Amino acid sequence: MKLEIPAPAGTAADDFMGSLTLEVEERDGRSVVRRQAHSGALRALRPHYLDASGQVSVTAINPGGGYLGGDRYRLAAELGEKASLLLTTQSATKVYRTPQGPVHSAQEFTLADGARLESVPDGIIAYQGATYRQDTVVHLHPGASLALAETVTHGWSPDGTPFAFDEVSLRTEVHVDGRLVVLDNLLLRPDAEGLGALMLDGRSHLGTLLVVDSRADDDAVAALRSTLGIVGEQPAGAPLTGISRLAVPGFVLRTLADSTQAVEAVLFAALGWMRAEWHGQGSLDLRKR
Amino acid sequence: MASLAALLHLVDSALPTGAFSHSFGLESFIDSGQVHDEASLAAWLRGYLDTQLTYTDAVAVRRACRLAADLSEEGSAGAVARAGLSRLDGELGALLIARQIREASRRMGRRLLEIASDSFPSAEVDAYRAAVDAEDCQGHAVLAFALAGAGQGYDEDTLVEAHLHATLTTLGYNAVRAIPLGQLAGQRVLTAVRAGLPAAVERSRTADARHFGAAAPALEIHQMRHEHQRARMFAS
Repeated sequence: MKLEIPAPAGTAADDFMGSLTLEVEERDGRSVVRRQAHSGALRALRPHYLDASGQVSVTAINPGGGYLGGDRYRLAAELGEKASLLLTTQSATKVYRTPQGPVHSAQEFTLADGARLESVPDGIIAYQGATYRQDTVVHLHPGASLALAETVTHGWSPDGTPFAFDEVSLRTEVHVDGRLVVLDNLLLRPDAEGLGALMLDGRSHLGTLLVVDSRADDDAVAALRSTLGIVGEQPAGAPLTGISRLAVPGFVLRTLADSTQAVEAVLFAALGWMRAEWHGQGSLDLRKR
Repeated sequence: MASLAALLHLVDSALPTGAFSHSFGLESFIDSGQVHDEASLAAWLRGYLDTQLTYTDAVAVRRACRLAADLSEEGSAGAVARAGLSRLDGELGALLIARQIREASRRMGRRLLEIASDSFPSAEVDAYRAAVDAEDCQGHAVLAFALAGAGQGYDEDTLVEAHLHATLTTLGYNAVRAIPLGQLAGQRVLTAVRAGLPAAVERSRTADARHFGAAAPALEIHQMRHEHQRARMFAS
């Protein structure tokens, strides 16, 4: 007799508008995508190598272009020992009006000892009436290295009102050895909490970089602050940037600015510093611009 | 019947938890000139109330209150409640991203637990203190407050309002010293902010669970930048 076991809600592949799963492993100093599965409106370009470090680069694409209400997406990557993955996107995540319910995007990353994930997607652009919710869950071995970047901004609206979207909510959990060590919860709701001095400081773009890495100690944070020039008096119009150490080795960087370029300049400078200091790599050049 | 005097004692801004030495990021806004007078201080406190205080503090008070009654149970209900408190305490530590805020929460929390053991003794306080001693919990101020209050018989809504009021009052007095501002102007600010409390209490009751700990980005950046601000009166 065959038992019918219902799948828990939200786990069946059919539930997703698009799903992409990657397994990366290290072979003789080079990381390779051992297995890749995709369904629906999410796929990946052929894995490639941007430098001689052995880090494999995967670009996720949504051939449909925009994300619509009620859509659910899932992106999962499992990195074996010493595997190194640079995960990017081909273009911005554009979320349009979502009267059918929020767009929901789930990301799950698992990193073994010595594995490294650098996730640098294009920005999330939320348009009038859009609700976008992203849940990222990361499971790390204490010897793994994580860098997650995100950029959020608002899209054009017919009457020119900035921030006409309903909600952008990015929730990121990082577990090390099964213990929750970071819960980064970003919530932008222009109508509820507004856009006051405590929310976006009158800026249009928010950038964030979450790093968990055994090398990210107090000295690293001090060096980064100095590299980014964020200590002391800031020139008028400069991005508003802060960095703080986490309870575990790691830090969160947040920046508010007036353009995608200005936010990316800060994020890429921080990523570039870690690449140079910790990995002997050059700055990140995604060759999209 | 819960005693009014016990609540007034618990929310007294002179209670030596160290709250008078924290600005929770406000000092960075004073330093940059964004908060400089009565109106800008009232707007800042209102913004703080609408963001971090509602989505982190008030929601944490509620969650702690709901666990409080079962914490000292011997049976499985007690074990479930203690595991829930440990999870809540861990979530709080994980979502306080800015270092000075996280450390302030722990320092004030441990101090409040010490005070509460003598001045507001209850099974709830004992349970949290035991979990902190066993390093199963970190000991956060807002949870110590909620459990001390629940142990005195106060209900969830009362404790949420009391916590919001106590935090804003202490911050208001700190700001009067730091800006500086006249005593009467300070009282007008506190009165204006008090008017926003009922709505915040209500919003924290209906908040979506996924929004627990939602950060206000500019506030958080200022809390981070306070770590390297040159002249500082406050520890956060």
